[in-house]
Amino acid sequence: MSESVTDAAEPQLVPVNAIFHTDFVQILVPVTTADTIAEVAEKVAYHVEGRRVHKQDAPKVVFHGGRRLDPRLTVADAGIGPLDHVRVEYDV
Amino acid sequence: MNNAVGPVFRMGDEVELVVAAIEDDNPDTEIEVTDRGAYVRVEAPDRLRVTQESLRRHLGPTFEIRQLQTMLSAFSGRISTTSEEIVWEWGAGRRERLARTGGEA
Amino acid sequence: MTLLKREEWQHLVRDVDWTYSYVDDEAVYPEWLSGTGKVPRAAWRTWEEDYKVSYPEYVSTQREKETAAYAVKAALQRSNAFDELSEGWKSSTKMHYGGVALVEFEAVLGELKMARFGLNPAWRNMAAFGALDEIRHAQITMFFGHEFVGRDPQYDWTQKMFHTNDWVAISLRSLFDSMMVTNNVVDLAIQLPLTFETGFTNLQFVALSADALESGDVNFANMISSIQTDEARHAQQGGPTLEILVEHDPVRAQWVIDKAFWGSARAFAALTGPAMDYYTPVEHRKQSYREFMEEWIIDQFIRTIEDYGLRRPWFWDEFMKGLDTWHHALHMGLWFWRPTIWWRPTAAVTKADREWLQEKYPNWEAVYGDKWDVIIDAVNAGNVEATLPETLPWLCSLCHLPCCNATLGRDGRWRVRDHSLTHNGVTYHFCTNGCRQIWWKDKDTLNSPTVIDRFLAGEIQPMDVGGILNYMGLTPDVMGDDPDYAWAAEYRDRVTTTPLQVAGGAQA
Repeated sequence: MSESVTDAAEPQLVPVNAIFHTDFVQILVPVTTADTIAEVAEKVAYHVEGRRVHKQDAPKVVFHGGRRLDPRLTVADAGIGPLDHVRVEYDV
Repeated sequence: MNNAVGPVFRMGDEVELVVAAIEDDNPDTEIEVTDRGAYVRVEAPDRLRVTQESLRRHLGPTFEIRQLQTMLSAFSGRISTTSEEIVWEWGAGRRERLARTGGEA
Repeated sequence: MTLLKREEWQHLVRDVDWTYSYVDDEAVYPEWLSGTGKVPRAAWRTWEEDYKVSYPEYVSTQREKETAAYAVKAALQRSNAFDELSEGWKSSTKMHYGGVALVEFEAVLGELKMARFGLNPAWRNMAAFGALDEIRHAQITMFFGHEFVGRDPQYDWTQKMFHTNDWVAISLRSLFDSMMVTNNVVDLAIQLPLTFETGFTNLQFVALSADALESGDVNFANMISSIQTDEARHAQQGGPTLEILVEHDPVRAQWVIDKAFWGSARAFAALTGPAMDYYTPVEHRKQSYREFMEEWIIDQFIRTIEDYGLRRPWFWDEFMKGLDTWHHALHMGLWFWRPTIWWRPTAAVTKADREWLQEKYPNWEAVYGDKWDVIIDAVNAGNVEATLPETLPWLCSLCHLPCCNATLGRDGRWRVRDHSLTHNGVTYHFCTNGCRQIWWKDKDTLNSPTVIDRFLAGEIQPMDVGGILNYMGLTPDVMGDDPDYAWAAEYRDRVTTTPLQVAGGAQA
């Protein structure tokens, strides 16, 4: 089967259900298993900051399954799976 | 208003005349008329009726009670229709009335 | 000539039934279509309609209704009435034509099913009139919408919309298929005539006529309120059906009403809500969507179902809170994802609009004002690209509408929260607890993938905005856009600052 021969280093697509801060709607954001949590925050923010939410000069933090994630972790390390919900907030 | 029942009529030239007929048919009843331009809501507590006789008095001798349907966009309460009258009332009131009259609508 | 009164003969013709000799009752009224369930077959003998009509009366009355509706149309066709309508109001009508025309046709099928499989001859008789009514509604809606196709191709979606894979079409098909096509006639009579037609359709067909008339659209106001006079009659199939079901199976009665109410409330928040509170020009708004809901749905519906011996639905609190949020968020979603719709949604957030919105909905500025401000600044900076989507909104696995319902947390913050569940290893997301609960109970009978599901399954190619719009059937001549962005102009001198975050999450 193809999945058994996939190179572990090959990033896999992980579509997530994301909400950014005070935005009014959850959105589809494709991230990969190799993205860091800091990169996930930026990929979500891309669709919202300056579009519907004022850009703030503050670091961003990602919550998943009730946990605040270390920004240096990768999506794979953090255990974020396809269709999971992530929340991105300004860390203020 | 508690237990408000009654018709909602769509816009038309005859609505005021129909309301006058309803007033004739429900003496001593507090009737509230709300005009929202495109529709007019007529309400009374518990029970409201209109008869062909009154409608003919206001709308002309050839008016048939079924013609009221062309104006009746909605209503609150439960309706009963016969060739002589239309009644709007709450279910509980109707059940009591049917029990009293032995099932005659 | 003196005719017999209707009540002197009607029962004789109306109550004609058969005694079978070659087949049994189950063959004629199979359970999966007739759905008697726990109700003894004999109990249906007492079914009695409240709003009686005979065929001669029906024909005379319908003829008068049609004559009147078409006379108004013919008179206005020669005037410039259409050209004087605002783009916002026209959008309300485009949304109506596309969203309603073929739902009316679906209702023909529903009425015909009751006319064939209804469990009492009086019921079948009434449903036959109902089917004729719905044929009229499908035709008149299509015909009135068609008149404008030559002037504006978006009106072509009157007929086209329901056949596309536009997300609105998928959402409405999913709702109305479950209400009219895939259910048995007992559930159908309670979901469609009782819950939908005596409740919600009044909002779109009578309440909205008040805004239509104020907006100068006499033709439309006349058409929709004429349609509703038919609904007022055939909707009365619901009451007697409910009365019998409540007596024998109140749990089923409550569940069927509850979910039809919820599904209708979601759909009307998406369509009627924006039409009333945004597309109708502010000076023509007769009442707010919330006020119309209170007038037509809240008190009346609850009193009606309590009159039949049922309770208010379990989701009542969530629904009531949603009256202040659902349709505002859906309006913002329709506007932001405007290339996916077949009308031109005006944002309608001028200072006058916002004053009105804030007065009607005291949390409006706190929940939506800041987001519109960001959009306004982008429009005024000439950066319209920033106001256009580059991804999909997440769509609810039950109602297929965007997951966009902010709620007030215990920490005082308005946030859109996660309502999900995992079943057989798949995670499903919902816009509300109500949708999640209904999905969970009905999951074995649901099979309606959302646009998100289809996209992730690779059904939509190429996997970008262009591919999505193409999948939805939108062509550049029809694709929605703001009519003119003129509403943003009065904010041109707005001082744009990053708001400070203060304790409690409120923004200063």
